[in-house]
Amino acid sequence: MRERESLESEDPSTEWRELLISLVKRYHPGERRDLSGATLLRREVNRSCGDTVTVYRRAEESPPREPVLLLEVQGCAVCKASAAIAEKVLPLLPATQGGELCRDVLRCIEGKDPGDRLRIPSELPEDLARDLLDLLAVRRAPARRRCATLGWEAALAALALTPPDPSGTLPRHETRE
Amino acid sequence: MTSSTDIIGIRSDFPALNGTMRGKDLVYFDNGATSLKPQIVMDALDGYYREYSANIHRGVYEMSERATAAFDRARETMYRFLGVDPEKGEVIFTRGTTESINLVAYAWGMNVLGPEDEIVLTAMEHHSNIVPWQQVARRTGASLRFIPLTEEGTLEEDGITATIGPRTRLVAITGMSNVTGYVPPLKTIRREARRHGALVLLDGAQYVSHHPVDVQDLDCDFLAFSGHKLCGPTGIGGLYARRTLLEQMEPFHFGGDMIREVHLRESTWANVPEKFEAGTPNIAGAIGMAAAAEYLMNVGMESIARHERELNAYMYDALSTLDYVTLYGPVSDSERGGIFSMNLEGVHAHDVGSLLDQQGVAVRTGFHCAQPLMAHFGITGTVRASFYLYNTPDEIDLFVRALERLYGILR
Ligand SMILES: Cc1ncc(COP(=O)(O)O)c(C=O)c1O
Repeated sequence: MRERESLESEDPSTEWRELLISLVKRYHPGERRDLSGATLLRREVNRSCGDTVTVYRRAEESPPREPVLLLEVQGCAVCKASAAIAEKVLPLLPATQGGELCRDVLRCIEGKDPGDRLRIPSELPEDLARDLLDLLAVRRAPARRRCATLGWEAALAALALTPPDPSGTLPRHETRE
Repeated sequence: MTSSTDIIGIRSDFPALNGTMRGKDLVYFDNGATSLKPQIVMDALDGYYREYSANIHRGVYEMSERATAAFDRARETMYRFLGVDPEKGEVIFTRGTTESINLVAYAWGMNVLGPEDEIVLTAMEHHSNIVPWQQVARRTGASLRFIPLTEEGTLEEDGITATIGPRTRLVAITGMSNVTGYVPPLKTIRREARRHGALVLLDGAQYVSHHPVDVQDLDCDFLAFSGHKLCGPTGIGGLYARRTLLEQMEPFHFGGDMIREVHLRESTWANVPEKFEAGTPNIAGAIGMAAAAEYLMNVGMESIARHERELNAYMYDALSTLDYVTLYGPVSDSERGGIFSMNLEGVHAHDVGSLLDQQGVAVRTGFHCAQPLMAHFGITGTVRASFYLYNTPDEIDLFVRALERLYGILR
């Protein structure tokens, strides 16, 4: 596992928005996905605004498709970007490590200690690792932290409900390079 | 409009307006949540704490007498502010609108209502005027009925007359929606309630700070309000109620100060208002709220209301030029106070709020403690800009320019 720090910006009051806007642009919600046959695993609500993240397990398909866990968001750009990153990252990791990463992201976003470091699993490609670190900028905006944690909380809870396959990893499809 | 020199004078009374937010001049458009405080209110609080912060009543020394006199004067100021004739009505100090409504729910609703009775509400109420009544209904078996809302979130005479009926014991309704600024037809509601012998509770959290109030003229049985929304401190507010009703009601809280005599196994109650003010009250808060009410009376509630109507018209015109903005609430200005709830096409309210913050503009985003109204509009939240006496058309221009800029970024 590599360990990196989030990059702090020169101007701490504005940078988080710029980072988030760029994330939002990259993770702009696409068209509605087909959820037929998917199993609802978990729904988390942000009590302060009513935004929700619902985690589904995709129905078995042939050929199988990634990702297995789908995070459907009714919410703001921060919530969407954050959940979209979680959705991309989690299929790349074994379930236990996915859970650890969820916990680690939550700790870093909620953490009181700005020096909290996020342990980035080595399985993650550079661009995803970068986005994950950018996301941590939200910790500078206390009122928006929950927007970013909602998806990771939902994913963490959903992982606990997802029976591991015999190899101890999140059910994942082997077709992925 | 209150002339620009008056506004400059008014603005200089509010130290927070000299401040900046994110390095920009502050545009404070979150008055629906709470108002800023004039220096005079801070001075009143400071004066009490610095010079005579004794407990009231029963103190036989000068400092306590001074505190008692200031507390009693605070109540008298609230009588003037609300047009209360103390022979006929009383102002109970509470923590604010939420506690005032709970007072009526517990001290009246829980004791008086039964399974045959109906409480009439609307879906536009703030949670604090819904949740206590749900509890009353659950415990007493009374039913809740809701006057239907039109698509734009207003009430119509037919819906009012069809909902308020012979079983209605209470109509509890906001005087002004904290989401849309809509002021419902209070006269029609009162007429229907009276026709069926029902009481009327007005949630005045927004109404009282933006309109001249005369409870004789409003002719409601209960009026709940919060000091912090009318330039006063937080943690203080009040309940106006008709005296005869208060005399018949059981107390809400029990303990010191609200009793006449205490024996080991039973007690008797003090007169109104003390019967409803158990324990040491928020003395400084009451003094501070009275200073705020005095300040507003000096500016003139009529001119504040006029000023806000002019800001509304200006805002309405400015927003009409932005075709990606959806405004919620009544179209007619005569039906709305200075609160605008909106969404920008395809952009979440929180994201708008965060980018406005970056430009020095404070607005509220989310469901504004009014989830049933959000459900009615089929949305989860809005961006809400709400005005007060110190806001200006220039600030509206700034706000609109900020919206344009951020929409460009987010879309
Ligand atoms: C219409 C309305 N009712 C009730 C309340 C609750 O007031 P408080 O929080 O001061 O008790 C508010 C506050 O936003 C309000 O706007």
